[in-house]
Amino acid sequence: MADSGKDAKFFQRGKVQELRADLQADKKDKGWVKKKSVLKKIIANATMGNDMSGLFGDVVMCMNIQVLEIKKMVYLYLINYGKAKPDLVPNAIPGFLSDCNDRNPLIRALAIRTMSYIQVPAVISALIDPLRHSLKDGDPYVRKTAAICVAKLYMHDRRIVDKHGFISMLRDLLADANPTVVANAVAALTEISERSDNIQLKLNLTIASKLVSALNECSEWGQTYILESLMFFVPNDFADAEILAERIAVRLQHANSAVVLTSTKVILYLMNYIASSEFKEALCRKLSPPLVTLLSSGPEVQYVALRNILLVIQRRPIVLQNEVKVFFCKYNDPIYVKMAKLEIIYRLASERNVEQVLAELKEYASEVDVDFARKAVRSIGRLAIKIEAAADRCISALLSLIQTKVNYVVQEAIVVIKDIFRKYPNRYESIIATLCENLDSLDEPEAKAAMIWIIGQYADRIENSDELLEDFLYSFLEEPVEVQLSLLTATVKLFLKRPTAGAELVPKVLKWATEEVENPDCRDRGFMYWRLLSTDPEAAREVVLANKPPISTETDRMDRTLLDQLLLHGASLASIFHRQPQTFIRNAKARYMPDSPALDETARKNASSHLYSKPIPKGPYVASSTVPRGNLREPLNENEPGLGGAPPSVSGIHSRNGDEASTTSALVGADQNGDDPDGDPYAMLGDDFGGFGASSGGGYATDAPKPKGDIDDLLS
Amino acid sequence: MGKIDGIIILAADGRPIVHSHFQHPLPSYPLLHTDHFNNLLQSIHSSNVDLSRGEAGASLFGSDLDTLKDAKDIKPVLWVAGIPNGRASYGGEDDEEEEEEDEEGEDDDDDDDDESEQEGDDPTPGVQATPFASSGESNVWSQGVSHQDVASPPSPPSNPNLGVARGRGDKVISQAEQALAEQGAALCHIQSGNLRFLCPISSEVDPLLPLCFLRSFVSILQEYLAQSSDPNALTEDLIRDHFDIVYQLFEEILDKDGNILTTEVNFLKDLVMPPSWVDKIVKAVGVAGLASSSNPPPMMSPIPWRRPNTKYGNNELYIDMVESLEGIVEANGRPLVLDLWAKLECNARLSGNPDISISFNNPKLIEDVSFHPCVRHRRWSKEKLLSFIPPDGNFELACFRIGPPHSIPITSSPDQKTGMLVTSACNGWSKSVPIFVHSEFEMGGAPRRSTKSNPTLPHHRRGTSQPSNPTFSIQVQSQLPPDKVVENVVITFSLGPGSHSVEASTSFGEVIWNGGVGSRSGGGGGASVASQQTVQSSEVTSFGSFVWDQNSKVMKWSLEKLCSKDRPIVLKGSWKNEGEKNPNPSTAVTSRFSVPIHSLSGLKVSSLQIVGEGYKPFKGVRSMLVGEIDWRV
Repeated sequence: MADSGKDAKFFQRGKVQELRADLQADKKDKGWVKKKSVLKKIIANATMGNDMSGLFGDVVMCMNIQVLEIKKMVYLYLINYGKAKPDLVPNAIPGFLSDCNDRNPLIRALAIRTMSYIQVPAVISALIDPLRHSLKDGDPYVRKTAAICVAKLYMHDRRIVDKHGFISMLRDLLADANPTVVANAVAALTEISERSDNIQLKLNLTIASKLVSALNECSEWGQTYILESLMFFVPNDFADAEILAERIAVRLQHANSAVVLTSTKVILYLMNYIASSEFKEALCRKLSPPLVTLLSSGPEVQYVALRNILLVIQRRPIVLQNEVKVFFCKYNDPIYVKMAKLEIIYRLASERNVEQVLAELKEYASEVDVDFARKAVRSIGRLAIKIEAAADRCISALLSLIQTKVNYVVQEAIVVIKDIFRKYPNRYESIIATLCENLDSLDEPEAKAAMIWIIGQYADRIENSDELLEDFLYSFLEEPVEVQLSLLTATVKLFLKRPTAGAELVPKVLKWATEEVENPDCRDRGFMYWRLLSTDPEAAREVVLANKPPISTETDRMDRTLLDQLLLHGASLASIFHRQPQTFIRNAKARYMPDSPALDETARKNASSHLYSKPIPKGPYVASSTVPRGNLREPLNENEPGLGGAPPSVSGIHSRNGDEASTTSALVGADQNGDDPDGDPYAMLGDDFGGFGASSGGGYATDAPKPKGDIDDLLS
Repeated sequence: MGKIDGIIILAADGRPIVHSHFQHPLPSYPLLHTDHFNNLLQSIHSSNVDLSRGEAGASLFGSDLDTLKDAKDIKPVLWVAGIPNGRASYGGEDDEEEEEEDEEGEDDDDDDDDESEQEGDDPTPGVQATPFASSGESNVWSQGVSHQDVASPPSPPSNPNLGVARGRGDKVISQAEQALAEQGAALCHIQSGNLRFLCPISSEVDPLLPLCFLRSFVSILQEYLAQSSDPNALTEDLIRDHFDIVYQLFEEILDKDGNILTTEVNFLKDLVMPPSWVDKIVKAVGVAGLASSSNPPPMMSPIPWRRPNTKYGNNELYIDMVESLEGIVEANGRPLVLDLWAKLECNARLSGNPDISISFNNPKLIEDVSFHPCVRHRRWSKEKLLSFIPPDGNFELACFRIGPPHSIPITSSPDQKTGMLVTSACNGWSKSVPIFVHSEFEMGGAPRRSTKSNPTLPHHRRGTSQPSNPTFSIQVQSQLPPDKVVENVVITFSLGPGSHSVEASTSFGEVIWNGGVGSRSGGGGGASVASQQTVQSSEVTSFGSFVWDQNSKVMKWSLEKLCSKDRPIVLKGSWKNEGEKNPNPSTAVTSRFSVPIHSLSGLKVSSLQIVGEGYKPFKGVRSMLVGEIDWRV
């Protein structure tokens, strides 16, 4: 541009004295050109961090110049330095008050807006009257600005707002003729109720439908505010919810993705209050296309959409059930998009599309990105568990992946194959030989532990199982705890199945475990085996070789209550991180499903009186029953039911619970199945499938807020 | 607390250019975010540098394997840990538990006060770090969901008054929860051209709000400063030169609390004068006139997206229907996923308040539609008519998917000979892909995966290592009739991290490979003949030009025009891989292209009417096709 560099000179450090002289200069200044340029310099300096507060008095003098451009700069200055000069601020108040009565609505609005930023007692008390007038101003721009000022004032001093009845004036604005005013009033009310404990926003049907009508003429941002506020409407009968949902569904076609996603959230919320399953199904069908459309936007929108879709499809499986192809990854997708897509692909896999999905996952397993390839391999294994009909094909896919000898692929495959053995005992043992070819390449604890488990479990079928275990035992004392535990158990199994082969190894291992190892879990388990074996070998057999509880992928679903809660927070940070907001955002309130006669039966158990009030638990309430086993990993580790040894987690998820918890549960006995009494509900919130394998690549978990750099701690 | 904390604009190198006002009490708040973001960029950079040195350094991504990192892989919503909460006071290092106890004593029923008290004594991050590690904390967390066992929260001291234990316990838990909530803030960011726009949020907001808002902000800046929607037109210098405009815009689109005020460019132009106008008006009327001219009462226009009293000498309306074919084609040439999206991009330069209606020849094809707010939904759902009063200038009227593809008669490219004849039942566009790309990578021996690979055979390419150099061969061919030209074909693929030692052996920065330029081969055959040394990639021939980027290991091959239907063009080459590492090129070749004046779907605007104003504007409608297809190897 021709005038480029023209304003850059304002960035030069100006000396306060010079500027003051310029500002006071009484020369002829046609059109205030000089004043303007001096003020510009002052603002430029202030934004660069140079202290301009010394000019306060001089700048205030400029308030009587009735030129919008100058007013804006003066106000900008006052906001910057108002708090720093509380003693001088009162000088500006007459100027403010006259501006509040200016002919120009822009200046009126600017004046009250600026006053509400300068939270000095004198200014605040001077603001009360003009604010009240502004809320009834003839110009919508002023009214809308005033509405936001009320919320601002509330954050500063809620008593003033209560005392002067501003809340009820805000409520009156909900019926304003101008939709932008309505949107801002509702945004202010929502914000106030989010912060306040005694003001609960509740919308009745009349207001809710008025708001929906106002949607049509609002700006996109106004629409998101209004849609958000509709979460405070609690339908009392099915018809209300149906009508409202239907009317909101139109918003799903909006070009702004924030509007689309917020509409989705409101519709999903209203669906809890709708009985008719046909109607709900119809709504679900309407939800799919706009979600697909979001995926054609930029990667950042895709990411937010994908994280939300993952929640939606768990709650309403009809949504997108035929659209798995939409989620197939392109080579240049950013890795976070690929990861999120992969999770969704896995969840959308069904008997109908498993062929396609499997082919796709195999493709991903050879991708360059290691974390992604790993996750793909894991997904193949989990597919085998999820869809029995596809198990054969999944196994052969895994075998061909193992033959590539790519180290991390092999390790990942072995980990999932262990799961498959658990799910389908006595079906795929023929592949053990192939697995054993790769023993040397195993260097990750999880894969090692899995392989050792397999060897122990099939100690009687693997001819040289004692030799294999002996090889592993060679480095017993250097291994991480999970491998030690696994070795300990596998050796005992070997002994029980082939006493002669294990006779030499068992005493050695037990001695190590009880005398040399420092980890209490390992020690305890060692002692337990020792006593079992020495007092009653038959009982030991029953305990150690007992049938394993079946596993299924159902457990990696999120807990329904939690899912409902997260969906109430849908389209928000909580839905990205898949964690409840109060756990990572200060002052955020948890949301609970508000009760109503129309509310879905299953949800009513945990219903509350208001979106922001905690529900009163109904009936006996047992934590462990409402917090189902979070994920596949845990049952898999409980491979010794008799010992209940919730072993220190494979993926470190339980490390926080510390040794104590595991120890106590280890002593509880057979029926406990190692149910960790502190069953951590966040365990299932892992970024990957149910917290599975957070250790195998930080990339899985980087989604979640991680304050101390320790991902595992937080995910759990 | 508002929705959005503020906006930061970063230059290409990560330096902040400008940022808006931040309400946050911590003056360094925007800097903390900037630093966090720059650290991420830096870690990506250094891990890549390590990689090219052959050292697999542990990167921030936790993976010690040799994957190239790319800045595009930074998640758009980040969690920036350790940023204290906005309303924390920084003197409050008191023992938190004591404080809680005090509050218990003071007020049992006034939750309100509790909150504010609580806010007062937020611990510093340092204080908070400890409870995380403690074992007791897990109980608090699980109770956050289950509200169970409230009598024994571990961290607060036991309460002697057991009668109200439950209520108090609840409160203690919620306070403990609050206290334990991590300190930090989320950071949303986007990139446009070389610039990055950051938007920190510290409250529970829909991340799409800041993300969409940033996009709007970028387009506002483009409109104001660059007058072009080309992302590269908006430069650091331009922003620096017009910092006053940028600040005024900050003021008008975002209030000090982070509430979005407006992003309608046409409305903003009433509040903030674009620099180009200022010059014009100053010349015309002098500065005195400026003050009075910026006085139109705001929000008087009943249509927020349109300025009242717009006037043009020549009234014009242009509509581009841009179809966009996106999808993935499998190694055997069979399309796996294909979607045809379409956008209606309009440029309206019309006076007054014209009312436009558009109808289509086959509206049934339009699915999954999303509209600009100006479109009247009701008329669309009833009459399939796009009826609207347009915004002024450039805007995107609608975006939709054209489908279902299988119901559409295939109109284009009737005769094909290549291996694309197979159509899967689910895909009607499979015969319509205007180009065909076939690629082969050889790892110095047999192809790593032939198109007819046995699925049970290992197809992972890193299994074998051969002495000879790995080679690649990319073949591209137009599938359109001779009168149509495929333009701007860009084919990109990566040769994988192993290829970095190559540079060391050739010793200059931008390595141009032995380019197999021009080869005649029939159909899908790979027999290529000529091969010549090219040093300059800028040698633009009908075979295009190619560039190898040593940093990203990406080969980019650009063809301005691709017309010949029967002669495929081949790009061949080889590369070296460092020492032990096996070659690991990309598993897909990405192609982009455009075909002007072409429509795959046959969807057309059948009528375009403008009523409400007296004039007869010039109307122009055209369609074009762009595409982005992945070809798996």
